Amino acid sequence: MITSVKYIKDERGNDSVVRVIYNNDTSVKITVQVNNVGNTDWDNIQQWVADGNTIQEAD
Amino acid sequence: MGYVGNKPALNYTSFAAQHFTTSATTTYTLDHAVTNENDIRLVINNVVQQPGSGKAYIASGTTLTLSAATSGTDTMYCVFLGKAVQTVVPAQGSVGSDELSADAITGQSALGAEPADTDEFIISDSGVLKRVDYSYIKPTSQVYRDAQPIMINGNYEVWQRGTSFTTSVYTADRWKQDLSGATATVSRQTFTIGQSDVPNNPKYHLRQTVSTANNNCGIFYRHEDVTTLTGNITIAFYAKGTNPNGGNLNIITKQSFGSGGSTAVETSTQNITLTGSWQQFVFNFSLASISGKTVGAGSYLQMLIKQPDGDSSTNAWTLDLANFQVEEGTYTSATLPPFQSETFGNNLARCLRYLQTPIYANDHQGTSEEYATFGLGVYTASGYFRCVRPLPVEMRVNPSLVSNSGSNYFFIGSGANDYVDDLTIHPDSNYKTAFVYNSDEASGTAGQAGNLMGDNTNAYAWLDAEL
Repeated sequence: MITSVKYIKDERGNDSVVRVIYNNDTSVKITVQVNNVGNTDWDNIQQWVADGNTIQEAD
Repeated sequence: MGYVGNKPALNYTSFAAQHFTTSATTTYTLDHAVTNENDIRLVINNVVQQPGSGKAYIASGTTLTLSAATSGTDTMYCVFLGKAVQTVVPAQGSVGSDELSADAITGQSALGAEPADTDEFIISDSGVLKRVDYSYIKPTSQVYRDAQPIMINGNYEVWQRGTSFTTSVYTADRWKQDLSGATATVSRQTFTIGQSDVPNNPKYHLRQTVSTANNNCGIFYRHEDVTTLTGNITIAFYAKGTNPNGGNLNIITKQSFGSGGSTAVETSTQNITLTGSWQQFVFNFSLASISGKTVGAGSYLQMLIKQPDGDSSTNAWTLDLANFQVEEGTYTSATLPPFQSETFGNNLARCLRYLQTPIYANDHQGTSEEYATFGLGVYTASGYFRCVRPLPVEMRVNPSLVSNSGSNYFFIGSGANDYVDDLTIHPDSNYKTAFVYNSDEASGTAGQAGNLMGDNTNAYAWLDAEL
């Protein structure tokens, strides 16, 4: 179960990657490109957003 | 010319003879009916008798009448000149290939089932006709080394992530534990060399030890691309263990049609009742037609073994799995194709499509090799190091980077040693080439090259494209 998702800005200043945290486990750092359809993490995030959740803005 | 009755098979006919037990009489009974006495040649005491009325004998039907009575010491026999008797058994060694009809087996009764072990086949053994029992030629005892089974890592030899897991994660490659609120451990178990409980000498099997159970806790495998297994399939495996409180586990399949695809379809569940001894289970499933379905990226066919949905008991149970296979079509345990055991190398190569672990000291090899290299890179700016890794196997999709962070977990070998705590996937990554970067600790000279590697036995950086 996804706990949180947060954008990460690349060197061009774009929100091109996100970090996803599952089950409050912050010991694992999972990063995935946005719009990476078919990637299980990105597909999970899309479902999570469809369920009413929001991706956090990048720092 | 036409025949009345059976056409004689000329190579296998002979004249019938009848030997009589003589006595003081003129009347005897023939074995075969005749038209008249000219149909037989009668011999008494080795003297041929003259046929005909007023001669030595007459015959009609099965009645033989002599002109004078014989005595008990006479020897008498007759040959039926008009009676050709077809023999049943050809002479030994007299039938050649030319005499056999090309359709000799057509019309014979079909067996309609797998032959018994003692059923026999005819073979030519270096040109000599011999018989062989089916037990010697049936395929079930064969091992197809290096064959490519439908399933990947069905023999549980590849464990890139490690050998023991307590959370809802992938465990053995391609096999994911789903806790569903339970407390459980999946671990790699080693077979005793030479054991015969599970055939083909597998090295390992998977064990799921559930200490505090819950409904739907189990383990699943996802076969990539829902369109590549359709219709009737057979799932077979060896298993042993202890059952949940309800007395059995469930096995169920699910067709997931991917991102943006049609709604997933599940088959009905079937029961698995474990015992303490290894036994083979064979299940047949009829999958829903994919005709008219919309299939998106990331589709799969899932095979799940779990505690039944209606069994919420918390009693402990254990599941051991070995030699897991899936076949297209419907099979029984008697007709199931033999388990195809890949070499470790081929198995690993197929697993790399879903997971690659360039930096991981605690994998299944147990070597604690901390200085594994991710790849070569360059400082694109003094505080930004980007590293590239050409992937040895094309991954299913652009992978996620699954890593951890810790003080100086990663090392950049450059003009000066540079240590960073963590890594992030780069947006230019794709399924053929992975890029990672660090932009908050890297410190080098822009334009300078370096190699990125692990620097701690706890550090890891995986590329994950699992389903």
